[in-house]
Amino acid sequence: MSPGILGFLGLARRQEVLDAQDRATVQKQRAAAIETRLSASQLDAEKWKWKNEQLAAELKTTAKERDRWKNKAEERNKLDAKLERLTQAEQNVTLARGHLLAMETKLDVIEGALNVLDRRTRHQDGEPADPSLDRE
Amino acid sequence: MSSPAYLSLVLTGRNDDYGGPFVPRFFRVLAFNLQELTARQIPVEVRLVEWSPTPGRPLLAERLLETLPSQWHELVTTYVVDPRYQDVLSLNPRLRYLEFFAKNVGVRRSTGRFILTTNTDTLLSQRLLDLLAKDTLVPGRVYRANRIDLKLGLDDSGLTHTILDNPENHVPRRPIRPPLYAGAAGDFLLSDSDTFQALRGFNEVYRLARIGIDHNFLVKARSSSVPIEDIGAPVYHISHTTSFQVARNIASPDEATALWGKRDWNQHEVIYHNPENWGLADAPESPLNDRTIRLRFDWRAVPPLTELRRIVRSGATTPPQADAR
Repeated sequence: MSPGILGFLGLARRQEVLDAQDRATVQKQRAAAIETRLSASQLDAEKWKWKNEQLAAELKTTAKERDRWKNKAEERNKLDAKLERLTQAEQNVTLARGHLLAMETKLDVIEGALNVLDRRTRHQDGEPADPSLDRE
Repeated sequence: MSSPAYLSLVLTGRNDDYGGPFVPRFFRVLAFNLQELTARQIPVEVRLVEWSPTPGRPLLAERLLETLPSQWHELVTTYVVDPRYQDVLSLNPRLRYLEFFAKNVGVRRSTGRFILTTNTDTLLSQRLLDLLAKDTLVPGRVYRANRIDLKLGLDDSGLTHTILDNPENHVPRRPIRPPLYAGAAGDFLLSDSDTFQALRGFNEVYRLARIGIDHNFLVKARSSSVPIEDIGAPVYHISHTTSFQVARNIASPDEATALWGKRDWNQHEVIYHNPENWGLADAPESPLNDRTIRLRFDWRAVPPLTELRRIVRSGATTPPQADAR
């Protein structure tokens, strides 16, 4: 029977039907694979979206940290400057103290010399040799 | 001993009863140290300064020559210093003895490569003597030693190293520590002759105190960048009633002033720059015998009562104008 007559009757050859079934199966498999890939892509998209959100949050935190450290660095600089001023002041105090102690020592010597001269003068005039003994 | 001295021992004393029987104690200590030094073949000389001898008593120098075995006579030279120096130099009439001025007289006249300023009640330990015999001292440094106090009342008539080294005879004492290794420094200050000359000896400007002048020398050395070291072996000290450690608790204020002068002065913070003729360099000398020299009084040897530019704070370098007249 010619294919035209079978077609007219709404029938097809068995081989044609089998071929068509094979093609349909292949198409079905392709559709399923595409569907799987689509799902995977959607999942990937979700993941990237989530990662993006996470990175955005991290960026925000880092920016805050950066600001915090910047402030700390400024504070540190201020403290360093204060420390330097304090160190300088301490050196000045030490120096001043050294000068004061040297002055005090010089005054000791002057007082000693005056006492000696006073003693010698009194001795020459016949006064007691060590008047400090009389005062006590 | 004809070879030049490796070590000069500088001591000062006089025939008084300082700390009880001073003279026999001094002679025993000197004999002990000389015996030990000469036994180790260490060329030594002793410069004894008899400062302001006690009137009416025989000179310590005379008694020394009578007592000391004759083989050591040539090792000892005594300088008898006219009492007027004490009178005119002291800025504290109650202070009876300018000990470190006296030691400067000895330092100035020492010929040894190294000079040890010490005291008449200080014994050299076995370890220290062995160390000195090795000739390992380095010039340009000040050496200090720990002092071990022997118990008060310990019989010092027959001292041996066994007795000295016995811890049961010791009084605990804090060890010396850096940077100054201070503490009883008057008992042991050792340096080479050039360093002593460069530092110009002990403080001759602040003549109101006896206590702290030794410490002040260490401050001066440190300020002059001279390293200070622990020599690593001790000396022994015979305790007596005028030892500072003993007497500071029992002396009346008058006695304390007579013994040590002003106590609370700025010995840690202020240093000195002695004049070029420190150590009574210009005092005329006349021999009393071949081992004894008298330093006669002469105003040219006496520094002015006050030379304030010679007092400087520690850590400061010597001002260039300090020696200017």
